[in-house]
Amino acid sequence: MATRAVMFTIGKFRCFPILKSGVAKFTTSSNLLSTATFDPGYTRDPSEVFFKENVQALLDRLTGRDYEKVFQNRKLGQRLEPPKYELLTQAEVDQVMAEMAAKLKRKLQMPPLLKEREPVTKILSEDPELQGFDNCKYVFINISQGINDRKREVVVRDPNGVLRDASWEERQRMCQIYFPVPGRQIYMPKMFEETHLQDCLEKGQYEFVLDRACAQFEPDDPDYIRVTRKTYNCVDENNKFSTLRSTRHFGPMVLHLVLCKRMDNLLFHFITSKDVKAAVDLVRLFHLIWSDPSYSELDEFQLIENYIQGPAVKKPALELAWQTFLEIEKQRLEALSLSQQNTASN
Amino acid sequence: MLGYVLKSLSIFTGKQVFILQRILVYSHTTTLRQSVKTQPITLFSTVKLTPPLISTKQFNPSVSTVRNTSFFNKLPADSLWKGVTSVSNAGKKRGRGRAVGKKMAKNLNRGQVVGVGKTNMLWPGLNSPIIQGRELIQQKKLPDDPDREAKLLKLRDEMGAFRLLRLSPLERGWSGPKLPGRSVGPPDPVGEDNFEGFDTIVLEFKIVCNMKGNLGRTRRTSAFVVTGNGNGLAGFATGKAQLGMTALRKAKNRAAQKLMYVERYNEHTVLHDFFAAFGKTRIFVQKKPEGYGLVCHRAIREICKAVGIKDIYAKVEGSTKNVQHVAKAFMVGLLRQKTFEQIAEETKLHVVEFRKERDYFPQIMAKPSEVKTTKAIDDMDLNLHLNAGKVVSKRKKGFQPNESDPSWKNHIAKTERFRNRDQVRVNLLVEHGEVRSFLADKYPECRQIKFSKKMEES
Repeated sequence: MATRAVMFTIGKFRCFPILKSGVAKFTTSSNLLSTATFDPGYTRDPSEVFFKENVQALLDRLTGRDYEKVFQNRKLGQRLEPPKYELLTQAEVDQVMAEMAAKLKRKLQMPPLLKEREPVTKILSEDPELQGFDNCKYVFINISQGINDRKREVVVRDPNGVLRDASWEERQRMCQIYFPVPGRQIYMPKMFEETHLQDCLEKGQYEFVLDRACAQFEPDDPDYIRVTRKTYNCVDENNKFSTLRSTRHFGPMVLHLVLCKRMDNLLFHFITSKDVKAAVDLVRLFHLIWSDPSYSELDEFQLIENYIQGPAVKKPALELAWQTFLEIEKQRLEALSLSQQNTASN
Repeated sequence: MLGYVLKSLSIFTGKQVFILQRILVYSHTTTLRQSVKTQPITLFSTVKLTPPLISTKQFNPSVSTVRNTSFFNKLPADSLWKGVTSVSNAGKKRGRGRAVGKKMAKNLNRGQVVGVGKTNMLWPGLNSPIIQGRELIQQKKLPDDPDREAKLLKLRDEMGAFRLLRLSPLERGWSGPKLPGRSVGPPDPVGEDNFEGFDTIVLEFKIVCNMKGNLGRTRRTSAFVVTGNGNGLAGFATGKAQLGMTALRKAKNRAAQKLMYVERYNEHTVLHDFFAAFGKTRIFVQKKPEGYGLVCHRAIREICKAVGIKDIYAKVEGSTKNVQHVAKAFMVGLLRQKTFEQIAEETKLHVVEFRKERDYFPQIMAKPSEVKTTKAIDDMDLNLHLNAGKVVSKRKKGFQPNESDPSWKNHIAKTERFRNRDQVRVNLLVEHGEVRSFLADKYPECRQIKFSKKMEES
């Protein structure tokens, strides 16, 4: 199994015939095998709503900004270093905190919620006279700097003489060889296989699974969609929303749940944790996505009540939670007014 | 009587000539005859045999004399044992008796009871009551105890040599059976204070001498110990006494009266890097992250355990053998540490911590009551401020390759293919469950032989 590493240059292409007889492995990559499409629970293209400005703002608000959570201790797989100390003036502290705000924004950037990508079928030329020129495919890649990996020219000459654009899997593998993305592996890690994924989710390692999926896959990769949607559903079923709060995955998860119309658990979670603002935002998002214009005039409490009376699926549980919340709120207000009266009389 | 004995022996042993001395002791001929018949002759220590001369026709007996008096039967047992187990003063001066102290006198009377001997006899009045119930007990022979002799010998073997108490590896000190590094338990309770959770460790244990006008050189044992509860409280002290155990007790109880509280960072390391000195001993201490361990002088390590410090690096320069100076320097350094609040107040600046695992998120450890707006040169670095402008000089790295050196290039070329070997191993194990060649698909018979531990056939 000799590998050919002959390099030759034609025009602006630097062409590498690679892995001469490693083709078998190449074409039967696990990505191709597991193309049985995962049903996300909706037919709409989520990118239509995801990139809308008001949706982004709502998702951003729902995510929250807990600095302690975002900058929590993480296991980096490296030897620990002793902490560093600095003596800072107030201005310097403010400046560092401003830098941290920018860093937080970068860390909380949401991976987009997209629909599955279309397979590549573009054929550049058919040259039957080249048929049987070799028993393997030749892949050509432009390795110039400064090109987006999705726009990089990667073409394949098949043994039957067809010159075509590389498939998504071929492209990703070639790009990973020449421009490795940190944390990404050429073959899909076993963790994302169905059985192992189930184990990971049962252990409650949602954030880890989602983070690694972000590093491994493109957001429109069918495997990414399968893994992430499954994780979102698992979080929803187990009511573990707080583990994903203040992470970059909370927004896409909320959007996914709203698109599936299974946001009742989340709303229940918000109400029981007395986070009315988040609950209101969630209902607003629901109306925004399912294009109901009537919501904008209503006040906050009315909005939630209308949702519970209207489109909610788990009505009894939500209603009960909402009533208890209202009662507690009422008591709190009474106590507050009493104490205010006392202070006034004193 | 003698004639009878000789006669009986000559009947028994033919024409050999015997010189029997000890046999005379026996007065009871029947016992003698019995013993001679049942025991091999060699048991008689003073009997000397000359082999029978078979080749010569004429019988020519050889006679050798035996001295009956020696220091063995003249001196008492104490003096005999002294000769074996000790050495004279004159001999000591000449360097004799190096093994003195290893051998000890055996008490041969141990395990022996009056009335009990080789022959298991019942002697009424000696080893049994005379009357049992209404019957008078008769003197009679009981069956022999075959293990008696072996038991007696075993008991004697156990005595002679001096044996050390066997210590578990965790209880051992720094070196061999020596005391330094060993734990001697918590200090003795004072009033209601029981010193619960305290442990004492010996740091130094030595003999010290003093010259006196009337007594000459007087020796005492000095013990230097540290005691602590592993939770910030620790103290150290010396104790001197004639006996080592007394010195230890004194030192331990004195240390318990001199407890000091040491501030720690998250209960695992020091507050900050520091330098401390006592005499010629200088110590540079560094703060380390969790899991680093105690990488320092062994005396410092024991003090850290007593205080409850778990992660530290300390470099001792100057005298490392003077344990008392090392301990004092380290303790002085620990007590001179500044808390973050103190530093903030001194510098009038925020003390901010940055950790890599938190992605360098600033954690404000202490705020001053009023913050100044401009910084002095010493405020640029915390260590600079703590050391009053001094900087710890760092040693040069030992080997720095010259990258244009052909030999270095050669080395890189040779070792390049091994650079990610451990990672490749892990990846192969993840992917295939074994470390395999890239040719394994084509030639499946070529694979690594897996060694499995053979089970013992039983």
